[in-house]
Amino acid sequence: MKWFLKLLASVTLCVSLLEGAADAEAAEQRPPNILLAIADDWSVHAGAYGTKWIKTPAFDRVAEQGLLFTRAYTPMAKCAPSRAILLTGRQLWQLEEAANHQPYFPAKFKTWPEVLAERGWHVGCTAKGWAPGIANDAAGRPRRLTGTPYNARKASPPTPKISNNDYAGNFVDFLDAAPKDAPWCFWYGALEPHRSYEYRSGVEQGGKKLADVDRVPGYWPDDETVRHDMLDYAFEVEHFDRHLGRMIDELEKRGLLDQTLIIVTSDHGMPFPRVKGYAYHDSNHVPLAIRWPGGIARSGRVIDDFVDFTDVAATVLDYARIDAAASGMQPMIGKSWRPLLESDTSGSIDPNRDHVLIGKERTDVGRPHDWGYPIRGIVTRDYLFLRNYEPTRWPAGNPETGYLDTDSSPTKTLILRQGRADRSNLHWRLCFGMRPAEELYDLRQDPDCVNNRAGDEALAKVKGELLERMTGELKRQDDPRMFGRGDMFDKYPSASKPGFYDSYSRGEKPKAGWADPEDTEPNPIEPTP
Amino acid sequence: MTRIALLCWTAAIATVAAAGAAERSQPNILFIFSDDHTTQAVSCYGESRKLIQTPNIDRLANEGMKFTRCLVPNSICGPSRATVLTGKYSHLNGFYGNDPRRPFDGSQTTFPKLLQKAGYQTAIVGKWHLESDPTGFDYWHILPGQGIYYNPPMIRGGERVKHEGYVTDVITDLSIEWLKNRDRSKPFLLMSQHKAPHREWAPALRHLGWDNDRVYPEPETLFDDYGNGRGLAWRDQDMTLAKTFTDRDAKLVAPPSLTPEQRREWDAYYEPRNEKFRQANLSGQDLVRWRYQRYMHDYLGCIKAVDESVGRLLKYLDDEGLTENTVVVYSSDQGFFLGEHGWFDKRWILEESLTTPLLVRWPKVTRPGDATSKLVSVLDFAQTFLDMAGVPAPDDMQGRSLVPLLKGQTPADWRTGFYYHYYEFPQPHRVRPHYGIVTERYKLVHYYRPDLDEWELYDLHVDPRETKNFINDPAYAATVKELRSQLEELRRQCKAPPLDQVPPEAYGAAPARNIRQPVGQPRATTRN
Repeated sequence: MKWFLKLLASVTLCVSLLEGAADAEAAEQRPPNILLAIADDWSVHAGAYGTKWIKTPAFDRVAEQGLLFTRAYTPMAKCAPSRAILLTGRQLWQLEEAANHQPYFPAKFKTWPEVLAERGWHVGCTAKGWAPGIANDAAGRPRRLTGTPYNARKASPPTPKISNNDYAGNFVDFLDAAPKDAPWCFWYGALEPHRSYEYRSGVEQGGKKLADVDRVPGYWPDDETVRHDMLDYAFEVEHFDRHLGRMIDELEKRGLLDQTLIIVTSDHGMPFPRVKGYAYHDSNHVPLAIRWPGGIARSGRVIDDFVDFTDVAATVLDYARIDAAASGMQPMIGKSWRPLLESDTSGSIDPNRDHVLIGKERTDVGRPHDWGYPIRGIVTRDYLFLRNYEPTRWPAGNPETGYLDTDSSPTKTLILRQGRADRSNLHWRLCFGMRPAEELYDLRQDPDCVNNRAGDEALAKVKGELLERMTGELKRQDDPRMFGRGDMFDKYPSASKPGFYDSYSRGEKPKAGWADPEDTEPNPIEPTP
Repeated sequence: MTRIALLCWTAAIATVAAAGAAERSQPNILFIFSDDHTTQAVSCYGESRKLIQTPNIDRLANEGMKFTRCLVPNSICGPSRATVLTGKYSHLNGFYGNDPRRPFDGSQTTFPKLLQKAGYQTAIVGKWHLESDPTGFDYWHILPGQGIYYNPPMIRGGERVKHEGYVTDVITDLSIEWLKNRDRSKPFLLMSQHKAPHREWAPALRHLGWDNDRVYPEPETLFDDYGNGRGLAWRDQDMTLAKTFTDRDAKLVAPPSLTPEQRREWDAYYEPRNEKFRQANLSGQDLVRWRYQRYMHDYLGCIKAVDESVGRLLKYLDDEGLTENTVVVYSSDQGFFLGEHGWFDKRWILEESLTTPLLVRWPKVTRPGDATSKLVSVLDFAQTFLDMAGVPAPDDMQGRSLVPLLKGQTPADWRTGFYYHYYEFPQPHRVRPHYGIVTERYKLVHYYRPDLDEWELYDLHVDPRETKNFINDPAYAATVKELRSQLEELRRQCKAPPLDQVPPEAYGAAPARNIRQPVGQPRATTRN
């Protein structure tokens, strides 16, 4: 049988060659090259989404000539676990240690770039791949979860806080090194718009105005500091987009553009209080645009189906024609996006794609004994429901160690100051205060998720259904937390600063690079929600 | 003017000299002692349910030393307290159970008396529960009996006084007030002893809802069937969430001592939840599960205030510059069951009730963050405090100073076995009198009266939850034999009387009636 297929393939190839045309049928026979551009901490802010205060021409081009997704999510809004999900096709709660931030990545979870490399693909990456954490193979040797690094080219960055990696230049090196006869896959892992930012760079270098920000989310104060912080973030997003633009131009120049599946996204929402590291809508909602004329039925479509990062591995293996079962990867839960790409309709396509599950285990250390803040949640078109399993813990990390689960920033420091002046301050409570065991938000009226309606009798039935649906799925997915084994996530050692809180409490003053000493609370706080 | 200045100067020198002398030889001792605060509810002990964060108590572990196996010789309130004071087992200090008719004999030698004699200023504030008036204290301000949670009446040097507020806060306020007004020329011993988190576990009103309606993980043994060879004592106790837990325990009935205003706050938290409970009409395991959740909210809510109290006391020491020269000890009279085996309460030789927290901060002596799993006991406290103060301990005290352990040294002959004996029966929880030996790994226990004669063996290495009796397992025959002889030796060393010479009053206020007597067993007769 195999020989027959091979023969058939050769004949088809010969015929195509004879015809001398790269027609659609032949293109379909060859897997596309893959360019995955993943920004670091970029929320759903782009021209294609209607954002006026960030210019993203490259992303917009991908969307316009391809597909724009309005309901794309990562199940977990923190770098390492989000990327682990994207790379393995497994859910957060199916990833053992890799569900945590800063973990030791288990050797048994093979990633799809590793599979592509094994199958003869030319696989490379620049800057941030899977990180942060330690990923060694069973023999203790470091793994390349996202391919061979290309980081030699440097450029002078627009601000000292932006990376000097010449991402697009490194992509050129990668392409130059690509063998003619093999498909390639490149991971563009920008380091922007991750913290920190050059304060006021958005205004002073980006030429933006504070008034450009059309709306400050309801969970932050509408304040000059916050607006500057948002524009400084915008300036860094634009850096990511510029390099993406250069990469697209390079592909065009080489005649490779239309043979390349371009996926542009971000690992999760922006590095601001209550977004990155949380499980609200803005935390897990990510930008997503895909371009590939050879595989997309009708370009320029806007897709409202719910998709998440568990699907990426299945999609890549699908287009690479690799049987997942024979890939050596652990069983994956995601589904290929091929039907969405090959459909010719906009809006909702697959009625089963009507929700996503989200969650959180340990992210940054900073609670006693390295405890995490476990959450599971479900997002539907109308609602976001969260179950906080340990509501007696501080969601953003303990006050006395500076709420380490939220990156330090001018916005963070501002809100902490306001909270110190008045513990009933709404923004302090929303961003850093304790949470009840259940949260329910009506996304139609409250996309910022600031008005918790879990106790609203009128929504009791809705809440019950969401809870049941969520726990039913989590059980089917073998989530240890559904079977009383949730504490396993707290027990895995952290690869960075283990025992931070306890060491800090002993007066040892350990350093956390992402923390601002001003943010530690001098006095105890009454932890009421 | 000159004379006044001179006077001040002289006084200042005297103060400095006194402080200097104290610093050299006699540290202050702050002893914070709660009631039924079990290690599962102290976060630095790291139990897997992660029930609560106790940052202030943990501070003592971080800045001092943690004892992971501090055992009590008789796991109930009064006897444990009598042991702390005297350094003796119940059978020598005479206080066997919580029997109001048999008050503690305050004429015996206690460590506060000896410290007082050695120049210490001594005080006890809070729970006493030994029925007789405290002796050996320059100042005492205690709860009568068990005390109550809200607006507790107290007794100050024999005079009844009323207090408003929550008992843990009141005790903390009074403790700090005493520290402020103390004679600063002397070192001090302050025993700040809480009622919390004793039954019926009523939290401060500010802590109602403190846990944001968390659903607590259940212990593995919540629905223990008392099988695996375990005997009558297990099956016939009366301390389960299923059968013993009252409406008052469940907060379905409010305590009577609340003011109307406090009652409104109480109702605002409990009433909507109670209403939901009543409508759900739970039974069987669902009811137990609900009770367990309510119990955890309340018990742990009490701990919140205790932890805050520790924080306030430590802050006072910091602010007054007393930290360096003050030994701070946090402990409790015994552990407690938090749903394990389906139980609340204590009394048993089992780990949950036998082990009590012990954290000691002694600046410049203990290494911050140090810990030991050596077998120590509240029996050792008296000799430890005397040793710290450089006062010789009487020969008849039965513990051993912990000072070497605190200095990071372990004496080669440190105890490897510990003698335990519980008496009170049948009231209030039908826990059969039992005694036994506890080692690092094993417990050999004899449940001996009034209607049974059963030996049990637990092996913590194999069965850390203590759900199996290995006594008849041939593989353990040699172990049992060895433990039996060690137990007899321990009883001899502890001067434990033969069982038939234990005074019948030891077993409690209410006599055992209508209990089938085991056939052919020699026993102490029940008079009355």
